[in-house]
Amino acid sequence: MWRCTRCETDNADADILCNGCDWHSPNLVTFETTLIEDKEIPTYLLKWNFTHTTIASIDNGIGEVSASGETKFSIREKTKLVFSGENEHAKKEFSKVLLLPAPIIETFTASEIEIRLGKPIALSWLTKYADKVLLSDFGDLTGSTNKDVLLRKSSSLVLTAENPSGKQEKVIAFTLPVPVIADFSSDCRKIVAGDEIVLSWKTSNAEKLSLIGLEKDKIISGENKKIILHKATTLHLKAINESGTTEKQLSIDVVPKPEIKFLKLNRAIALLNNEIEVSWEAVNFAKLFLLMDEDVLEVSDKTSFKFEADKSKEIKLVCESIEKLKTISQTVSLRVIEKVSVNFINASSLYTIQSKPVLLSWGVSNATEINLLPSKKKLEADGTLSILPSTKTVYVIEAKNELTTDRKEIEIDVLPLPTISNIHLVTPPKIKLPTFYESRVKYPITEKPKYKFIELVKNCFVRKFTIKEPKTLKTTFISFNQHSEYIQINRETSLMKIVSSIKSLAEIESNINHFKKEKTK
Amino acid sequence: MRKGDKLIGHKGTYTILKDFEVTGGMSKVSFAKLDKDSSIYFIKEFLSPKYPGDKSMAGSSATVEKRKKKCAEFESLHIKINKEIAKKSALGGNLISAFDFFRNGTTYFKVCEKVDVSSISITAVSKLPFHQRLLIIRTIVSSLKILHDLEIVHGDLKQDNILIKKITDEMYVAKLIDFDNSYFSSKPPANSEEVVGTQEYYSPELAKYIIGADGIKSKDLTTQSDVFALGILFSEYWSAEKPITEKKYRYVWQQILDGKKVTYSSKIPKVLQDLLDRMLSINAKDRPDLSTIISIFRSHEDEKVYEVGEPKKEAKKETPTHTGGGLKGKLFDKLKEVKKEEPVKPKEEPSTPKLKGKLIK
Repeated sequence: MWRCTRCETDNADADILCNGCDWHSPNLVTFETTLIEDKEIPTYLLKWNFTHTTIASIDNGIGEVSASGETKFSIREKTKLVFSGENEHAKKEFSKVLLLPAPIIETFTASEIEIRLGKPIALSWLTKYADKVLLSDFGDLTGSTNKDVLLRKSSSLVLTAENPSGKQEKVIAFTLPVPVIADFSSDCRKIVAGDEIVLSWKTSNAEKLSLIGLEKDKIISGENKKIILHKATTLHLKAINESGTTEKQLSIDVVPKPEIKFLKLNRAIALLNNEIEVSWEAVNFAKLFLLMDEDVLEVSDKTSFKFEADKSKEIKLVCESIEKLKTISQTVSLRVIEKVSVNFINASSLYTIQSKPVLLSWGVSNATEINLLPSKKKLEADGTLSILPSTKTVYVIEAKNELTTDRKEIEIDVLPLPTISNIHLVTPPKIKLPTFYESRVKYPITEKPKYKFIELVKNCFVRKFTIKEPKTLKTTFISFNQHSEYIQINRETSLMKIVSSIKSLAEIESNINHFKKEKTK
Repeated sequence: MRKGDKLIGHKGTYTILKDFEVTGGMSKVSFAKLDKDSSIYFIKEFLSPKYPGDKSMAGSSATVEKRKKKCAEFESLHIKINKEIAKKSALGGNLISAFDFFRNGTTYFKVCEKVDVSSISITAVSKLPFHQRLLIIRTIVSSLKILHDLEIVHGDLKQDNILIKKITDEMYVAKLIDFDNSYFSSKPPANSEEVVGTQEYYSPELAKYIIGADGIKSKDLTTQSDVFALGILFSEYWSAEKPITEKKYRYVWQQILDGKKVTYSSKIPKVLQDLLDRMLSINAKDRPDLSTIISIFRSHEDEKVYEVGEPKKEAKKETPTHTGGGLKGKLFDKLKEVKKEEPVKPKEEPSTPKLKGKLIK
C-alpha cells in the first residue's frame, strides 16, 4: 500500500497511478538479479530502474542510490531487500527477495575408488554456497576441502552440502577387492626335520592372515615367519577381508635329520708311528666323509678307520643328509708326542759347606713336567738353580710327558762349619745405641727365607750377639731397623768385622735418633 | 457518559472531552483524548446493541443469551471488518476506519481518526471547477475501492458518510467514514430487519432484500450495491442534485425497479451521464466496478469532455414524493427535510437517521 500525499488516497501496491488523482507513483520498472558465479559467497548483481522517482534507496546497507543503477550484493541467507522510491507526493516500497542459491558441489573426487587396506584414500571437494559440508561416516567437515579416509569395506561416501535453501549430495562408491596373495613361499621347499624355515608372503588388501597346517592355526602378521617342521606339511595361507577370502598353499617336504652318534679315537695322544683307530656311528645320512689333514675319504660304508700317527691333527667326520640338505660334522683331535729326555744335569760344585750354595744346571726336552727331587721343585726345561744343601744330598731331575718319563741325578756333599759360641761386644761408652729388639738374617740361597733372632741388650748396645743358626754362613744380611747391610761371613770372617758392622749400624741409628730429638726440641 | 469521564479501550485510556450528543440513528458521538499521547479522536457510543449485564436490563436467561449472542455477532463483525480495513488503510488516508473498538460495561464504543473537514456545502461543491469535483468523486471511488477489494460492502453510502476535506486552496478530497453497517459481499445480516441504510441511496436489490421481495437472496447484496448509491452521490456532487425521477417515484431505486431510466441535471456532462446510467443499472452485474470507473475517468482526462452547454431552461424538476412505491413516505420525507442541504458538519459522524426495519410493501 502506498499513500498519495497529494490527495491522501491509499493505493494498492500494484497501483502505478493514484486512484484518486492519477499522481504517478514511483515505480520500479525493472529489477534484475544475476548470480555472479565466480564468488564463493552468493553474490548477486542487482540492476534496477525507478521511474517517477526523485529519491531512491535500498535498505540492508546499500542506502541511497540513483534511480537507475546496479550493484553487487552478497548474501548469506535468504534476504529481503526493500527498494524505496519517492517523489513529490508518493513514496513506494518494493520488496524483493534474494534467494540463497542452493549449495553446489562442484567437484567431489577420490584419489582412487578401489580400496587398498591401510592406504588412505584422499578425498577432495569444492563446494559453493554451502553453510555446512557433511561427509557420511565422518561428520561435519565444514571449512575443509579434503580428507584422507581409511576404508575397510566396500562402501559409498556421501558428501552433502547444505544451506537453508537446500542441499546437494554427491556419492562416490568405493570397492574393496577380495584379498590377493601375490606370493606365498618358503626359503626352501625341502628341509631336514627340525630345521627352521622362513615362510614369506606378499598380500594386498588382507585384513587378517591365517596360517593353517601347523599344530594350531595361527593368525599371522608381517611378511614372514620362521617355523620348525618335523614332518612333511602342507601349509595354507588364508587372506581375509570384508569382501572375501583368498587362499594359497605351500607344501614342505621334510627329510630325516642326519646324526653322528659318536666319533672317537682309540687314543687321543700317541707317539709317533703309533697305530690310531678312529671309529664312529652315524644315522640318516646319505654320505659320510672323513677329513684328515687335507685328505677327504668317503667312509659311507665304514664305521672305523686306522692310520699311523705322524703328527697331531684334527679328524673330522662329515655326515651329509639326503640331497645334501644338511651337513653335520664332528671332530676329534689326535696329538702325537715324542719321548721325554733329561739331557743333562750339572752342579757348580759337587761339595759345599753349610750355607754355601751350589749352582745346579740342567737341560730337558719333550717334557710337560720337570721336578727337582727331593724338594719336588718344579723346573723349567732348561735353567740353573742355587741350592743350599745342609747335608749330603742327591739331586734328581725328573721329567715327564703324557706318555713317557726320564730322570737324571747328581750328588752334592756338604762339609761342616766351625762353631761360634759367644761374641762379646764392648761399645764406646759415650755412644749410646738405641734399643734393638731384633734383626733378621736372610738366607737368600733358599727359596723360603729363614729368620733367626739376634738378641741385643736393651738400652745400649750390642752386648751380646749370638748366631744360632745356621752354622754356616755365606752371606749374612744384618738389619737394624731400616739400616742394613750385607756382610760376608765365612770361616775366615773375623769376628771383629761382624762386630764392627753391627756397631756402625748402631751408631747410625743412634745419631739419627739424636738428631730427631734435637729437632723436636 | 459525560465530559471528563474515562474510558479504557484497547489502545489506552481515553478522556471524554465533551458530553456525548445524540446525532441521530443509534449512536451518540463526542471527542476523546487518548491519554498516552494526547491525540484527539472521534468517539462513537453505540446505543445498540447493549451487552447484558445491567440488572435493570436483565431478562430471562434465554433473553440474556440471545442478547449476548447478538452482541458477539456485532462485535465479531466489527472486529473482522476493522481488521481487514486496517490491512489496506492507515491513519491519515481517505478511508477513516476504526482506530479502536471496545466495550465498556454494557456499551460498545468505536474510536476513529478525527478529520478536520471543510464546511463546504454540496451546492458549493457542485460549483467547484470540474477537476476539483472530479477529485472529490475520485477520492470517494478510491476509498470505496479499498473496501470493495476486501469484499466489504460499505452499506450506507450517503453524503453524511463522506467528509470533504480541503487539502489546498484548490483541492478538496473526500473521506469515507462509518462502516458500522458494512458487511462482507453477499453476506448481509441474515435478518433483513437488521440491515440499516438510507432509502435515498438504496440499490434496487437492497430495497428488495429489505422489503423481502421474492427471488432476492443475501448473495445478491454485493459491493455493486454500493456502486448504485455511488451513482446517486456522483450526481449530487457534480450538480447538487440527485438523479431525476418521475414524479410518482420518490426514490431512484423505485423508478429503476420499474424499469425506467432516471434523468440527470443538465450540469452533468454526457460522459458522466453515460457512466451514471451504467452505475444505476437495475442489474448489479451491469454496473461497472470501481476499477472500471477509475479507468473511465482516466480515459477522459480532457477537460472538454466535462464541458456542458449553457444550461437550458429546465422544466421544474420533479420532486420525488412519498407516494411512490407505497413506502412509509412520511417518515422518509421528514428525514429528507432534516438532511437536505445541511452543511457537512466538521468532526462529526453523520447525523442522518438511518432506516432500520423492514419496509412495508
